[in-house]
Amino acid sequence: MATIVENITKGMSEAVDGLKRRRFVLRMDYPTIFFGTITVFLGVVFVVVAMPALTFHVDPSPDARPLTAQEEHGRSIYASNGCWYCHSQYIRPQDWTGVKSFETLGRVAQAGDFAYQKTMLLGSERTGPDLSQEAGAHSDDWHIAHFQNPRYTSMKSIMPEFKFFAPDELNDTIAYVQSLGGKPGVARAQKQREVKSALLAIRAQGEPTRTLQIESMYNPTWANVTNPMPPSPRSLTHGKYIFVTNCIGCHGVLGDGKGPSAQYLQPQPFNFTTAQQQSILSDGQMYHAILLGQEGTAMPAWGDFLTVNDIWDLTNFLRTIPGSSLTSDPTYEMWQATEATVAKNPQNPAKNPFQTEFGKVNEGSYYNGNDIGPGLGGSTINPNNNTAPGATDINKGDYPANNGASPNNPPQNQSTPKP
Amino acid sequence: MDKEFSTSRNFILTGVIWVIIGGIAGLIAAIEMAAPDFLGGIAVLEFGRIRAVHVNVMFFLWVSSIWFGAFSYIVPKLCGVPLHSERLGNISMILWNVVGILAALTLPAGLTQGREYAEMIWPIDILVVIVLLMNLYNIVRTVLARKEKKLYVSIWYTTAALVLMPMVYSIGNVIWDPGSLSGFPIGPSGSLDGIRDSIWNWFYGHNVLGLWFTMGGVAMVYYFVPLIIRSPLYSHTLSLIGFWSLIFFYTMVGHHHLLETPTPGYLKTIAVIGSMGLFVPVFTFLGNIWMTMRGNWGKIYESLPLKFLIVGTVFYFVTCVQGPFQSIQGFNRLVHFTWWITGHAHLAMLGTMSFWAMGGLYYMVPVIMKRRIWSPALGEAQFWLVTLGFLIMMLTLQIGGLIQGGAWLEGQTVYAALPSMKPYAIGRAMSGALLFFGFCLQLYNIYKTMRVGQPISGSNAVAAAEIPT
Ligand code: HEC
Ligand code: HEC
Repeated sequence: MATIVENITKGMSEAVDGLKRRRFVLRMDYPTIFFGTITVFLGVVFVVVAMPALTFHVDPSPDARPLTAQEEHGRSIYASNGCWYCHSQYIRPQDWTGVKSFETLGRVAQAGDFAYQKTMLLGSERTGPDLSQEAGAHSDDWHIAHFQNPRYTSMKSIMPEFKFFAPDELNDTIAYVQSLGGKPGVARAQKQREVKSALLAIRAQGEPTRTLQIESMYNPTWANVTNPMPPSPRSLTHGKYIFVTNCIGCHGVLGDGKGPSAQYLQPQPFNFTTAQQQSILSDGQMYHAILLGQEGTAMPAWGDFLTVNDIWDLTNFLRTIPGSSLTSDPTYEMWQATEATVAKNPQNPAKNPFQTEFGKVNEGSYYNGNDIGPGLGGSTINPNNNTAPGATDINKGDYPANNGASPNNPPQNQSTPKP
Repeated sequence: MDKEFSTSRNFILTGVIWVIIGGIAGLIAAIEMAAPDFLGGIAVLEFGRIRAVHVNVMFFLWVSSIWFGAFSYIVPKLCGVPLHSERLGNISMILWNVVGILAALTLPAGLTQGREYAEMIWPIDILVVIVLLMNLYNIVRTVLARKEKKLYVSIWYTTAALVLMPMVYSIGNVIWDPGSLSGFPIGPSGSLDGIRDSIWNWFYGHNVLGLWFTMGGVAMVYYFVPLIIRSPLYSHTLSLIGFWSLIFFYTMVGHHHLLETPTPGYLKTIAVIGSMGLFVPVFTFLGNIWMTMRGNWGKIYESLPLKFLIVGTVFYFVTCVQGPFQSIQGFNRLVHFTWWITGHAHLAMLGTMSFWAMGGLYYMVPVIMKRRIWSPALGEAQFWLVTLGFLIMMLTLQIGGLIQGGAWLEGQTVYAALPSMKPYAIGRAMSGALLFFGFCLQLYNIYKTMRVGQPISGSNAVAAAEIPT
């Protein structure tokens, strides 16, 4: 008995001694390196690559939908132009919004959404917004203008121009973009088209109806909402700032609806320069038009980008646009040129609230509107010309040649204050 | 073609030229981010296309070329025998440039696989794998014929890089599926269907960095640093741990690019654990190199290659601290999708890999050509231009990225947050100009060295690399 115990203890202490003496060394001979590398690698590959490929099959989600041939072609254009470097295609749990959030809120991506796709275009950056629910967020003609030059519709955009698209490429890309979001997305895009034709049909009858007045589509009580924001200098200045930095790509530097986008849009952007037009919409309707956008037209929903405060200030400001009925209101006197401005540039007194260095928009960098203030005009651009400097520059650039307001053909309804 | 070290020399020279092309592409892309209508409307220069050119040229034609060049320099030196076949090496060098030319033609034309880092279309993929295998064969044959019995750690890494990269590349590109060469929606393309494809894509995307660039770079640093300071490597046990853990952990981490996608949770867990595990190979390597440097830190003022290499290790440290933290869900929520990640990518590929590449080539070029560097001062100027340019780029991108990510968390939409990014886009474009200028100096310097550099005679060529400043 004792010898057995002795033997065991002896054996154990020998083993421990052995371990102590021998340092742990892995012999790195060449076969070890060569085949060891492969073995370790393939072992891990089996777990992280082969297993998911073999086991991770998901059924299509209820919203998933195979693309049509045209959309599939649009998708390949999307891939070859590297749209996916700037746009992601999945909404994460923490993203409170994609685009047009009040319609798509909460649609977090599911594995089954991608069931019918080959080659993932999930994207790794969000320089531009997530597009996984893009369909129907805008009308088709918004996209036409946007691809022509994104600054036309979204003045702060840094997306490249895609005016090199051939007509069929443009169509197919838009078809693809309008399919993003699966079945509900396609339904949204379809609704845009239906509302558009309904709207055009009503307008064709010569009635001055606005979309917001079509009872079946919008809540008629909106008409009764009044503007809670007094038209103070702050409010108007701020409204102008927002307008100049967001809206003139479509509504034009003069507010006459003749921005560079206009040539691609049907219905045309709203013209703020006539009293008749302005009187169609109440303040409440204007607010809601800006907040929610106009289904069926290119007018985007600004609720995702502007605050309530911004929009009421805008509504105040829009009423001061020359030609609208309210310009004679003494409250708005401050929009006349100040003596300082006139002195600085006697030949070109600031005439209307849109006189800014708008030409910059055309040169590519989006306008940041820093120097906007009551009575301030960017009149340095073309001191000898007697029209709004913005308009002059616009006609030099990419703006449509048929733009109504040109140096030789200033808008008729403009009130010119005497300095 | 059979001249000793001609493979190495030619790879390095082409790399030095390609970095200019990649630099122009990058600069254009950066300017487009700040001024989107700059060059607007030219299809081949559109941001999404030129970005692909920039990334692929920098990855495969700049850094990888230097890697090939370094491999066919280091391995013969360590084995005490000439490269198995300089001819094979040079043929692979020519093919590699064909890869580059094809990529630089197809990508702007919009021919892409639509998968990040795997943009090059199928026929080019095949060529890439062929070149890799040619080099693998060449290196393995050289090692097998060696006179020096001991296998220095650089040889492990070189071999592993060349063994693993063809596999990583083939798996990641789903290379057995060429797509149909004509009708497939997205060019000739290898890919899987469904969201599984992104798992493969990012397995590849991360391992091209981990198992190719890191492996190759580490091999170079392990070789050049002890050599330049004439002091033995601090610990072979550390390099042993580093080597095996690098292969083990790096292979796991690809999925940390997809942490918030609807993919299986176990992959995410593995990726996060693997990312944390990367601290092991990173710190064994860095500890090893920095301990080797003990008592010799002053030498970075005396040797331009050493300066590049050591500054590269510092940036490597920053990269590898950022990386694991980015893969923690909480931080990932903030920085994913933002320009922070672009900054991180430049930290890895520019701050680390390109610095190592520059350090390596400034050592190898004089030795191979047996001429002193034409103008050490110009090299010094390049160092500062590139360092400054890189730091500005990283800081603008990452600060901008945090602002962007913060704005989103706050609930702003992407479009509404764009204007706050503007200054950073401008700063980044300016940093790009500095970098580009730095790389132009490099090309000029190397060209002049080749032409009129002061010749050094005899076997004392190594002294050539010791550039007095
Ligand atoms: C440089 C990055 C970049 C590239 C490349 C890019 N975009 Fe964009 N995209 C943006 C940005 C920024 C916005 C947000 C501003 C705007 O609306 O233009 C945007 C907006 C959009 C929108 C509107 C989203 C909304 O608000 O509803 C669509 C649709 C779109 N892009 C499609 C595309 C397509 C299709 C391509 C490729 C042909 C593309 N983009 C390429 C940056 C990019
Ligand atoms: C992409 C072009 C585009 C942009 C940008 C745009 N709009 Fe519009 N907007 C339109 C179009 C088109 C209409 C005409 C809708 C219609 O005919 O019903 C319109 C109509 C309107 C209307 C009248 C709504 C109605 O019932 O017709 C208001 C008010 C308006 N826009 C305000 C703005 C403001 C404020 C901005 C800037 C924040 C803005 N828009 C930016 C295209 C645009």
